[in-house]
Amino acid sequence: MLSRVAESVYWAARYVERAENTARLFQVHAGLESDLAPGIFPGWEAPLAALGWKASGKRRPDRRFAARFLLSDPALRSSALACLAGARENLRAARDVMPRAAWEQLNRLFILASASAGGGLPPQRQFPFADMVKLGCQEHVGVLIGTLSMNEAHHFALLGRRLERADMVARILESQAAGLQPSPDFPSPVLRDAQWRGVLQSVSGFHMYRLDVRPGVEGGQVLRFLLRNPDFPRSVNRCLTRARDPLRRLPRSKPLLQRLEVTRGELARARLERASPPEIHRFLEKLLASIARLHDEVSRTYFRPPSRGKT
Amino acid sequence: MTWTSYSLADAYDELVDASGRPRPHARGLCRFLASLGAGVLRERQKAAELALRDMGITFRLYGRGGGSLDRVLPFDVVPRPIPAEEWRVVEAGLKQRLRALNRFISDVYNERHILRHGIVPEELVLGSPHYLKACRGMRPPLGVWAHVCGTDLVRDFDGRFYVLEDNLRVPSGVSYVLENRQVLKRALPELFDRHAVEPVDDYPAALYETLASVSPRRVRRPSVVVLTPGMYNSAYYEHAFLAQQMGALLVEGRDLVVGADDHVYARTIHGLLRVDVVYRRVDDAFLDPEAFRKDSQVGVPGLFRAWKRGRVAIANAPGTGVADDKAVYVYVPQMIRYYLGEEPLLPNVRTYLCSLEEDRAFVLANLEKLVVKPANASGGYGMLVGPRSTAGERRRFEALIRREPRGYVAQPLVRLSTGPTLAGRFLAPRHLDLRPFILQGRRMYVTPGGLTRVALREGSYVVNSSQGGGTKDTWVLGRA
Repeated sequence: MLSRVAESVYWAARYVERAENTARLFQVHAGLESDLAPGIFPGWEAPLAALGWKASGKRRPDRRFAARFLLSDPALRSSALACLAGARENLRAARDVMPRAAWEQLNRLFILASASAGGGLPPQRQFPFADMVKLGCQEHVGVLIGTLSMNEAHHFALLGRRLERADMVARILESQAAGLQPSPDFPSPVLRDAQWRGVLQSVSGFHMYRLDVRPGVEGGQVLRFLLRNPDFPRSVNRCLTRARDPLRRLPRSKPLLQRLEVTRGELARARLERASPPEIHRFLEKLLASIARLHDEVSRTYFRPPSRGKT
Repeated sequence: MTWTSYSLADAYDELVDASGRPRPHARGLCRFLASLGAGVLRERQKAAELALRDMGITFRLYGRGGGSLDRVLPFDVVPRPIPAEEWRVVEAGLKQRLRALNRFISDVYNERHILRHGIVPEELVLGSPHYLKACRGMRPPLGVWAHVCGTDLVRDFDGRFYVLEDNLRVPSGVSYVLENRQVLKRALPELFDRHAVEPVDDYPAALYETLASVSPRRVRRPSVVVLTPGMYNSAYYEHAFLAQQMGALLVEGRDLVVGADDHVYARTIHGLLRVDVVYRRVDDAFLDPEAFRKDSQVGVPGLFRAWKRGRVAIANAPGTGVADDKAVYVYVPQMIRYYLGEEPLLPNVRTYLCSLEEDRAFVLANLEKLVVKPANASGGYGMLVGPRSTAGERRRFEALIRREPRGYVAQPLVRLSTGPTLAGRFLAPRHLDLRPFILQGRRMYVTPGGLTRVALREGSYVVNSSQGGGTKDTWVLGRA
C-alpha cells in the first residue's frame, strides 16, 4: 500500500471519529445549558477549549458561537462539518483501496450535512444536525466493518480511529479536570455531578459507567473509568490496548508497539485516586503528549519514511 | 405520452426514421417509452441523478478566476441503441485504425518510410509540437505506442458513422460507460429484461491484460500503477475508478521514484516497490521534469530515462501525441492502405488542411459554411462554427489561419445524429456523438458501444462535458 494512501485512510478514520465526538460534545453541553439555571451553567469555555478554542477578549462564547465552532462552520477546523469535509477529502484520495460503499455513504453524509448547515443552524436544528452526524459516523464505521477486508487499509483505519478516540477522550477529560477543584466556579455538588455526567455522556459512557461502576456519578470514579477501564470501548486504556491489533499486523511496527506499551504503563501506574487536581491536570497533559508522540511515530514509520538511498 | 409529440430535427435520428416510425432495432425501446405514463420517465431520471450524485461521480470544471467546481456529469435516461450487426463493422474499423496508427508512430520515430515515400508530408509530422525527438529509435514492447485510444465517431445525415478524431494521448470517459450502465440498470430495470444488451463491465480486466502484456518483466502478475495528476484533476474520479477496478495502485508523481538502477519504484508502507507498467493519465509535457517541462509538479523525475532503457512500460508511450493531431488525422486512411494493405472500414470526415495552399484558399472562401478547429487542442475549445458565427469571429479566424496555417483544419459541419432525450417532461431530439475505447496490447479490444455524449441544449452541436454536454448509456443490441 502506498504511504500517501495509508496516510489518507488513517486521517479519514480520525476525522470521522472526531466529527462524531465533536457532535456529541455539543449536544451534551447544550443539554447541560438547558438543564441548569441561568448563571449556574459553567459556560462553553471548557468544551470549546478541548478542541483548540482560545479565549480572546471580552465576550464569553455562547451557544450560538458553540454551534458554529463545534457543528456547522466549514471554515473552522474544529467543526463537525469541517471534520466530515476532511474525512471526505482523505477518503477520496484513498478511493482505490476503500470500499465503494464507504465512500458513497460518507459522501452522502457530507452532502446532507453541508446542505443542512448552510446559513447556520438555528437552535431547533442543532440537535437534529448533531444526531445526523453522530449516526452517520457510526454508520460509516459499520460499513467499513461490513465491507473492508482485514488488509492494510483496514489496519490503518483502525489505528486512526483508536488513536483519535483515545486522544478525544483525554482532551475532554483535560478540559473538565478543572471541575475536580472545589472553587467558587462550582458552588454546588449537584452541578459538579451534572458536569461529570456530561463528560460521560459526551463519550457515550453514562450507561456503561452506571452498569459497571455505580449509579451515582463522582469525578474521581469517572476519571478512572474513562482512563483505565479495560472493557469500555471508549476508555483510553481500551483504545490503546486495541490499537495493538492493527500495529501487530503492520510491518516494522516493533518500536511503535514498545512506545504504546510505555504509554499504557504510565496509565496503569498513575495514582489517580490520591492525586490532587493540579496533578491530575499534569497527568492528562502528559498523556496527551504521549498520544501525540505515538502519532508522530506512526507518521514517521509509514507516511514519510526517509527514502532508502536508492535515488 | 411523451412520444407522440416527438418531432424530428433536421438530422438522422438514432431511434426513429424519417417517417417517424421506430427503426427496427429500436422498436422495443420505443414501445416501452410510449408505455410509460406521463411523469414516470421524469421520476426515473431523477432517481438516476440521485444515484450518480451519491456515487460521487463528478468531474471538475475550472472557472475563469481559478476557481473550480465539482459537478455531476448530466446523464439522460433514454439509452442509445446500436444494432450488433452494424457494430461488428465499426468495431473492425476501429481496430484497423489503431493498428495502422501504431505502425505509423513506430515508423516516424524509426525508419520514416511513410514520410520518405511521400504518403504523409514530412514537415507535418516532424514539425508537430507533439513529435518528441527524444523518442527517436525507441521500440516499445509489441511495437505498441498507443495502448488506449478513444476515437470520436459521428453519424451524419446519411446515417453512416464517420471518424471525427482519434484521441491518443490521455483519452478519458470510459468510467462513465461503466457507470452509466450501472445507473440505467437501477433506473430502468424493466428495459434490460426485454433486450439483449452486450455487457460493458469487462473493460477494466481487458485494460489490465493489455497493460500487463507490455510489462518488461515476465512475471505472472506485473505491478501496474495508474499515474494521476491528483485529486484536483477533472478526471480524477476515473483514474481512481480504473485503479480500483484493476486492483492497481493509484499513484501521484510524488509516490514514484526512479532509482540509480533506472527502475521505477513506488513508495509504500513496506518500503520501495518495483513498478513494471505505468498507465499514465498525465500529458507528455508534465511526465518527467528532467526530460520535459521543468516546472511539472505532477511528474516523476527520471521516468523518461527509465522508459528509454526499457525498465518500465508507459501507456500510452511518450511521443504518441504525434498521431493525435487533426492534421495527421487526415492521412489515416492512407496509413491504413500503406501499412496494412487494406481499405479503410470507417471513413474520415472530409477535412481541409489550412497548411495546403489549395485547401486554405477554399477554407478562407467558405468560412461561413465550415467548422474550423485548432489542430492540437481538445475539449471543443477555440473552434469556429461557421454557420453560427458572426462576421467578426470569421475575420478573427481568417487572421489566425493566415498567421499560422499549420495550426488549423476545417471540416464541413456534420449534422450530428439525434437521439430522444428527456427535456422537461417530454422527449426531444438532441444531437450526439460516440466515443468507443480501443485497446491494443497482445490482443485488441473495443468497448461494446462506448460513451455517447449528448448536447443537452436544443439545436446545440457541442457535446463536450466542459460545455454543457451530458451522456447516455450506449447499447450494442443483439436480437433478444
